[in-house]
Parts: sequence; structure tokens; C-alpha cells
Amino acid sequence: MDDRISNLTSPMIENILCLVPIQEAARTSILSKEWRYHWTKIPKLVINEGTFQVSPGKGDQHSKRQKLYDAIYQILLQHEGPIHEFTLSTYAGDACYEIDRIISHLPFDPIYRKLPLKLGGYTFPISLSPLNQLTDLYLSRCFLNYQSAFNGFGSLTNLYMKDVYTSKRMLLHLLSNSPLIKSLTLNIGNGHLQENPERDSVAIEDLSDISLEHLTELEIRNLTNRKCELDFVKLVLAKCCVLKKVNILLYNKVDKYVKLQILGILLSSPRASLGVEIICKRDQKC
Amino acid sequence: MSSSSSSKMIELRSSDGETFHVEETVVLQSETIKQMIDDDCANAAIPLPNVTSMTLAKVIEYIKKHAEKPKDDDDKKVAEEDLKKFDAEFVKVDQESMLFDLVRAANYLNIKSLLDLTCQAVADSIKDLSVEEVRKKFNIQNDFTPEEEAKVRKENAWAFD
Repeated sequence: MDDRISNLTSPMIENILCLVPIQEAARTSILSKEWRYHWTKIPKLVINEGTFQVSPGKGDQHSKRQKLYDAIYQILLQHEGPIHEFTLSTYAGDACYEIDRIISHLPFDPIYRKLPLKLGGYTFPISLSPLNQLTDLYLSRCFLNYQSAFNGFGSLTNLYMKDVYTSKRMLLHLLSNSPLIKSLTLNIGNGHLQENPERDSVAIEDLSDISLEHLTELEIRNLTNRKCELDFVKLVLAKCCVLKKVNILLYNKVDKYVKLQILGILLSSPRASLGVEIICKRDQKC
Repeated sequence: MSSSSSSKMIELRSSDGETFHVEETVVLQSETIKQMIDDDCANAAIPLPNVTSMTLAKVIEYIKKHAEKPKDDDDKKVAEEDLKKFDAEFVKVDQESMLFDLVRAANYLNIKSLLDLTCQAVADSIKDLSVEEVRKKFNIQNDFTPEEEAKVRKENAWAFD
């Protein structure tokens, strides 16, 4: 019997190693000399805190977290070549600065740059300069706070957010300052898009300084009937002149009557783009 | 098997000289072949020197199944379930080598969904195995001296806890 898996080319083996937990991929380094560095070239890093177990009774939450960060630094030190995708699933808690440091050390591919981050309790460091290279950003379960000094993401084209705590004001600031952004997908859980107390009743006229010149697609999942959510959609409709598609998936408990009401509001609100297609339906998946 | 007989047929020739006739609409799932057709290189049989007839037959079975179009939305859900089952069965091959052949063929023919499916199947087959078990499964010779192996182990200590 011949050594068949080694007959696959290196990129194929690396592709396969992306699909096993990162510890297992790293353990292939001792299979043989040929295998020593395969795992260090994998283009996608998926790091899930759940797979870093400390033996029961040994170590508290803090040392477990420390173990995770030490492992990430070891992985990044050994890693060769660009990273296309970096996924980190963890609860950041009070250690946000550690994650800030990790993100600022990621060697992104100059052409293909995606960063899915699943983080609990993490305030996303919008002003870190490496983030300017990203084209795709997937954020879940973190905070995105308003900062007036934030200049937008220079390369970002697709932004996907799930259960991110943020405000209408921050979203508009981000959209109007990121020159290449084309699509925004917002999955709002219960109340993750918050009213901003200081600018509670912003009328459309008051936002004449905001221009959304590039956004072509907006998708909102789990929309309920909350005023700030609808106001956000209305603002995008009114401000975005190249908008092609608005896809609204309603929270599945929203009834037919409310659905019609929402549809009525959206269809009658002013639009900057004449060709925009508006779809509004109940989300079957939730 | 699709019933629309009006579609143009494309002839594919495996490395061992066997020819296969497949509808153009089906075969377009391969980016490599699509490119050849676009470049007008597909008037005669398309030679696939890297793919054996056994592997090619499997690949054709896969793309034929994935080319079936559901008629309406209700049909769509059933078809999706059916396709999932088909995929799960498809990668249960008798010999591991067939799986690697399919990875290679999917890569060469550039059929992304088949490549994802087969790579995932290989990944699943090594998941939860010890290093020694992986060596045995794939017949990999350990050419490290014990000292060298200990060094690499130490380098990646975080992964061996």
C-alpha cells in the first residue's frame, strides 16, 4: 500500500487541514518530516475556545483563557504565508486588549481578506489600522460603539453582523465613511440595534451631511416592529442612491397584520434610488 | 437521469481511454471544462489525462445528480434533503484511495462543491484519531528520530496537552 494522502498536492492537504480542529492540524507536524510544516500554511484559521479544554478541577477560567491566547500566539508565530480567513470564537470579557493585539498581528492576504469574529462581550476595536485592509468582516456577539474619530474601513465591501450591540448612529457613521462598502447584512436579535439617547428623534433632514454612495444591498434579519430598526431602513432608503435590493426578514413571531403595516411604511417612504427592489417576508429559519 | 434530450452532448475521455457522453448543461459544473468549451476547444472529445475512468464515472454521477432542477418551492425542500442524503452516501467509498482520487479530480476539474464535500470527508476520517492512528491509516512512515520528534512536539506543545 502506498502513502496515498501524501500524493495530494500541498494546497489540497492544507485545504483538508483547515477542516479539522486546529490542535489536530498542528499534531500532524509529527507524522513525518514531510508533514512537519503543512499545518503552518493553512489559509483559514478557525480557533474555537470550546476546543481548548483544561482538565477538570485544574485551572480556573483565567488560566484557561491564558492558555487560549498563548496557543493563538504560538499559531501565529509558526504560521507561514497569508491568512484568508480568521475565525475566533470566544467570550472576550475583560481581556479585549489581548484580542486587539492578536488582530493587529494578523498577516492578511493583500487580495483576499476576510475576518469572521465571534466574540462575546468584546468591544470591537474599530480604529485598529490592520482592519483597514479587510474586505469582508463578520462580527457576532460584540459591541460596536460610536466613536466620532473613527474614519471608516478603507477596503471593506461586505459587512455581516449578528447580535452585535450597536446604534443607528454608529451604523450610519460606518456606512458613510467606508468608501467601498457594498453590502450590509444585519441580523438583529432582541434589541441589539439601539436608539441613541442623544439623538433620539433624528429627522432625515438633520442628516444632510451623511451620504451613502456605495451601498447596493441591505439585508436585515429578525426585524421586529421597533421604531429604531424601521427608522434605520427608511434612512438607508432615503439616502442611498445606488441601492438595488433591500431584503427584510421579519422575526417569525411578527403577525400578518404587522407585516403588511411594515411593508406599507417601507413602500411609501422616500427613496433615493428608483430601481430598488424591496422584499419583506417572515424568516422561516428562526 | 435527465429527460431533456435537446441539450448538446459533450464527450469526455478518461486517462485510460474510455469515453463518456454527458450533457453540456451538466458538465458546465466543472469550471475547467466550461473554460475549454468557452475557448472552443470542445469540438472533439475532451481529454482528461489526470482522471481515470473509474473516478470520472463517479464524478459524472455526482454532477448529474447536482444538475437536477426542482420544479417548485415545495419540491425544492424535498430535493435539498435528497441531495444531502446523496452527498452523505456518495463519500462512503469502499477504498480510501477513491476519496483521494476524487479530491484530485474535483480539484483538477474545478468543481468547488465536490472538492468541499470530498475534503470534508477526508477531514472527518482523521478527526479524533491519534497521531499513530493517522500514520497507520495513511501508511505514513515516521522518518523523525525520537529526538527530532520530541523537538517538534515541544515546538507545538500547546496542541499536545
